[in-house]
Amino acid sequence: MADGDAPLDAWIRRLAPRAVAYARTLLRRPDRAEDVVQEVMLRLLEHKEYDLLADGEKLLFRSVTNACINATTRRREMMSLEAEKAEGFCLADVLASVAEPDPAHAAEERELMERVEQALRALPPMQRAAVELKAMGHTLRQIAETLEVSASNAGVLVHRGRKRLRQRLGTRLPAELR
Amino acid sequence: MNGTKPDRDPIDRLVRRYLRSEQERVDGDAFLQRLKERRRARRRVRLAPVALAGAAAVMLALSAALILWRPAVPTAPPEPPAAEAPPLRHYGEAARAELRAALEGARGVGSATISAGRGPLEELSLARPSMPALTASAESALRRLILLDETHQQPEENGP
Repeated sequence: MADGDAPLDAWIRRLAPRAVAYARTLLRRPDRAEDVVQEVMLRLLEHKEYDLLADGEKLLFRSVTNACINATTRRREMMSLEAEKAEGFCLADVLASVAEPDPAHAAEERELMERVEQALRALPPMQRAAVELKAMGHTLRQIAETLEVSASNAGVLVHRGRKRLRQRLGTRLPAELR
Repeated sequence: MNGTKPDRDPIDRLVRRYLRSEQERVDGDAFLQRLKERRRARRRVRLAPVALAGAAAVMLALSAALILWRPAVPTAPPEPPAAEAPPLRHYGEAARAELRAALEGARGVGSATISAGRGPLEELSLARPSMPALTASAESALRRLILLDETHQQPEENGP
């Protein structure tokens, strides 16, 4: 970032999309997501004592979470987002299971994503954050650190969040996801 | 439940797909550029008060230097031009009055200058006769006195 710090620039390029996507789901005004993430990143960059390349991701998501909560009413909207290759999980495999560029399918996909977004937004912020972080591959311990709750509490949040999502989406879930 | 990998739970997979679709809408390079611009703008805002304070300090120092090194205002009072008027033995009334006026004017200028301490002569001369006028007046009076003196003495010398 610091005009010539290539590793840091790469770090920002890699994490920014995930952080912004995460923030979008937590904010009541998704158009403010990039602003929030940029402010968070600037604050982190000013702290020279942070080794962002080593453990910046955890700091980033925790800070984005807090910023999003602060940007809305406390406990209104929350969190999550994350990685490509967590625990051997390959996103490409999941995406490959979904049909492609057929326009009809693309429309279905858009509709499905809208429903998922609505269902996520209907969740209490902490549950939403926990479910999203879990979906990104974060461990319960990491989720607990990010949300500043105990590990068991994080597990409860994930469980309840998934359950409510399943109830809301119900039969609308695509067959391959049921 | 809690220990499941993200791809084992259909809800996780769906949420992951949703997040993936959202993050594809974000251009990392563009984000980085905007972040750099924002950082530069923030630095400028942060440095602005420092620059302002620096400029004020420089102006203050220059002002102090100007005051300390300002050229001294001339303070010497003018010499009363008629102070060394030559002794006169005989003079007519007109010449005497003119000379008296000249002397008083010169005395006024001198005393005013002394009391003013260091005021420029030009300012004082506005309300007083000017030095050239006083000098001309005194010289004129002297010439006429000499003439009077000479004409007065001539009858005595030429007399019986």
